[in-house]
Amino acid sequence: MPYGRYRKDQVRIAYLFIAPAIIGLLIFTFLPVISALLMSFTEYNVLTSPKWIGLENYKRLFSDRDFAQGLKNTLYYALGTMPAKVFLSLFLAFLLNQNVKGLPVFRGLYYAPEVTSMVAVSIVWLYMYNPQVGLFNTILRKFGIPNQAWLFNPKLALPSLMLMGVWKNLGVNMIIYLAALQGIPRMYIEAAELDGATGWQVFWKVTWPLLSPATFFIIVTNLIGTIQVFDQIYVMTNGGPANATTTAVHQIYLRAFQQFHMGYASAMAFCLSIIIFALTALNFKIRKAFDY
Amino acid sequence: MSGKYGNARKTAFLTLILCFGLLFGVFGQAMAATTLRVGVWATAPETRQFLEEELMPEFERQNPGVKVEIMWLDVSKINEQLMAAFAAGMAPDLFQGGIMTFPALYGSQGTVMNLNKYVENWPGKDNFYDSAWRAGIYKGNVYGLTVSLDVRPLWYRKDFFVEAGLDPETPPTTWEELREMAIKLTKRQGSTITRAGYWVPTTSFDSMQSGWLPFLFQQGLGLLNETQTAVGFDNPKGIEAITFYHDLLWKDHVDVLGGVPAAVQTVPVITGTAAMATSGSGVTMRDMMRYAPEKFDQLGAAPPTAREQRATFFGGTTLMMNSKTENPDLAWKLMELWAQPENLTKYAVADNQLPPLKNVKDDPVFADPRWRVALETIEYGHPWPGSPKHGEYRMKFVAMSEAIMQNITPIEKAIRETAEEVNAMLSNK
Amino acid sequence: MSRKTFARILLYALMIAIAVIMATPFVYMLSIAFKTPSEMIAYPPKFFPEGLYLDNFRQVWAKSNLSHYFLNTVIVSVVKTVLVVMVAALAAYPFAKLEFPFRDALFMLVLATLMIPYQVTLIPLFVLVKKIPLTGGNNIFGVGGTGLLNTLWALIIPGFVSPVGIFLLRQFISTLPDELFDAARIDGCSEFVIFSKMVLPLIKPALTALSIMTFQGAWNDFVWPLLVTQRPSVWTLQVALSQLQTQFSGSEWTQLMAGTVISVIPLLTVFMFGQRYFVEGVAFTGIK
Repeated sequence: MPYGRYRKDQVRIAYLFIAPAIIGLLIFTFLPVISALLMSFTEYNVLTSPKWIGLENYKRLFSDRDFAQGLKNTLYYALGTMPAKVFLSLFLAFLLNQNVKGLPVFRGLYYAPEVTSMVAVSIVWLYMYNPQVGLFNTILRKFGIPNQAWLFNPKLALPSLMLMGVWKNLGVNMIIYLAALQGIPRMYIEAAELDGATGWQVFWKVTWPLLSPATFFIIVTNLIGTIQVFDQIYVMTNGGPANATTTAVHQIYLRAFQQFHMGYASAMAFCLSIIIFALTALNFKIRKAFDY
Repeated sequence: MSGKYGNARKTAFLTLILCFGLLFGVFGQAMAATTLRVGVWATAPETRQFLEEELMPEFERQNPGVKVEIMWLDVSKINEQLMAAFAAGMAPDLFQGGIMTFPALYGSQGTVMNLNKYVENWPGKDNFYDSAWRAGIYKGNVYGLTVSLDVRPLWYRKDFFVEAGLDPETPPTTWEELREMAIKLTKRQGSTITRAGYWVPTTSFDSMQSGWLPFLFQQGLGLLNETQTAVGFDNPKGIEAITFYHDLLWKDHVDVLGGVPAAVQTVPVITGTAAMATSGSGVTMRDMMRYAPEKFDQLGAAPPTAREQRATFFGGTTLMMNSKTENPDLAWKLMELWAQPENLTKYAVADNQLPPLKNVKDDPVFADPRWRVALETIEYGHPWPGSPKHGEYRMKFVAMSEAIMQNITPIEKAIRETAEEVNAMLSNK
Repeated sequence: MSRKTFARILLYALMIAIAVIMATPFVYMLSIAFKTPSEMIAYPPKFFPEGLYLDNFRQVWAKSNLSHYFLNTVIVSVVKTVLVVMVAALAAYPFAKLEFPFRDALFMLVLATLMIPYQVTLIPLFVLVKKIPLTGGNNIFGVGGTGLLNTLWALIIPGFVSPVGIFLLRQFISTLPDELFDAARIDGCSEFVIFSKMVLPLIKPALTALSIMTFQGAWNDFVWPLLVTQRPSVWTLQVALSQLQTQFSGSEWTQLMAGTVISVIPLLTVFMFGQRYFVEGVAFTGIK
């Protein structure tokens, strides 16, 4: 857009308003990122001086089987949990928007996973997944299905963690949808109802489109977030059994802080960032295409 | 027009105040004559108390003009903390690390100082157990002074032995005895195991340290071979040891995959969900007092079983000196002070570990029969190998251990594949 | 009974069932905090405590000097939340409603900062914080002292910009009708007045959501505070609690849970206080 098209005072105010944020990001995020980028071209164990090795680290990435496994698990995890996160949190937000007694209490209880320490969460979930006496197997046995090994079965371990991940992070998404629901003027809903629309039609034609900014936010931020999933993996399985649940960031962590290969870990991190960036840009393109 | 920008002015003013606050509202660094920074493991509050209130002040008293600044290290994030400190040029003068592995990892990079010239004529070193002294050595040079030990003898519950009709004073001494007793001690309710005869962890480091490593050591083998050029268990005896451990779970069914769940994550012998277990003496003794004090007398300790030799796993911590410290002699003095028998004992008691000193055998503090067994077990202790590649291969071993113990890969195949990978790693520069 | 009553009963049943699913680990955490250590080894494990054993709370509060760290964490979380929301709101408005060159590129830049895993920027950031000029004994070149390390500012300043916050508020502001602002501009209002008197009140639910999220993030942060607070005087609650959980000496589970419960009370308080702003009826009545 040619500069003349803009209103001068708007432009000035705009830059003024975004200045604190941009400056803050430049100093506290970009500088470290540049540093990490430079590190990715070195062999660096942090304790001694770095050694420049050019693109060696990036070349090594291509034959790193553990990283490949981590990437595979990561994408599976991120894409697999996304629909559940969006729809379940919207569902919960809806429930929490109903006219029921004790609504604040319900809201607090539904938010509880967010404030429960990872330690307590892992104890309960480990118990539920216990192959011998856990809740899930007890239920399965009632249907005649034999005991599953869950976290000890390389095929089931990741889905088990995904279920737990969805459960733990519903709270934040839920309050965003709650906030978004408040912003929908009652009159649109009432107008549609007056026109004779059913509850379902009201939802699809009125509510869902109006929620789209919130939905877009949830999809983009959750995607960026779950692709970097780490804490849950580290606490519950540490990547096991036998690398079945390792993720990209878990691999980055191991290389950086256990193998002292900070340079290699940085290269891995940038590789992951490019993937995240591509997926996010894709998200934006999709949104523009369906323009809403 | 001033009213229009009134709010903007207010914001600018507040921002300015914030900036000034930033510049001045910070703590300056106390200017002392000499500061010695020491990185120590933040374990129990009692350890903190001993170091903060007794040892360091004592050192400051003995060396006027010197201030000790303690940097508390979280064991699970120790590398992050140390690496950040090194990168920022704020590395501690002294820091504590795990035995064998830290001297190798940090020593091989020249990050920690070779202490040979200090310990050559130091009388104190004669009081150390051989295995404890060697645990600070890498490639023939002393890099670390071992300050605590955690051995893993065999722990068992005498009341459960009685319940199963076994003599509580005769714990198992051979593999066969262990197996048979474990089978007898396994308690079931229908088809559900409610008490494991012997604790068989299948995940992470426990599956090795409290798992098959002791049996491997008892075959006279090590995780790596003598020259650290290849794995040490890729042979019939090694396979035998690992198979024995594997079969305890899958053939003899003395435990169950996933374990018998307990409310608290600790050694199952304490929660009553296992009758026998190989576990660290520190955590076992302390947690038994903590959670089941009324049953404390029922806790028994036994030396590990034997096959070609009696052996088990042991870990511990060692003090190392930053090779770039500006005060090496002063740092050595602190190490010396800490390594004095009374101090090492007090530290061990606070941390619930064992001091690595021979004279502890006569110390009434460790008169409890179970501590006696633990002390005896030091002679049989084998640690992780001291290899600079430790950080690289440890996860490979864990993956192999889990693949075997959770029946994901057949034993021999898993061992062979891991041996290939790790041997390649070891032959790289 | 009528169909309506039946539907209501079904609704309550569903909501209660979900509440159980969501809140059980939390209740279990509470339950451990009130158990005596001996109760922990009961087999089979019991869910609820026998009585209300308060000693865990007393012990962890005193022995671990929690009041001091509690205060530190409160200061850090409150100041950080205020800063984050202010900066994010200021930045979100132009991204949502104003037109200026490089707007979309800058916005992607803001988002891009979320895409680098913190594990590799952790140490560079640490070094940066140590080298901030004119702080902690540093000269103008950032040499000589320890910068912002070992201060509460180290926990606030590096994170005062939240790209997630900017993104969130931008989404919400973008739903506000342009006509509102055009009308105000015609009336001669400055952008700042539009921002503070029109935009902010209208996005209260979003501001609340962001405040809750930021407060919680700051409160629960562990790795960064562990690195930069090497002196106990500036420890946060999470750092202090982490010492109750060790590999070698066993963990004081009951005290740890009691400490965790204490640590969770402010989070729940902030949430319960904030969720009032999610009450329906905030929506405006129409366009002039």
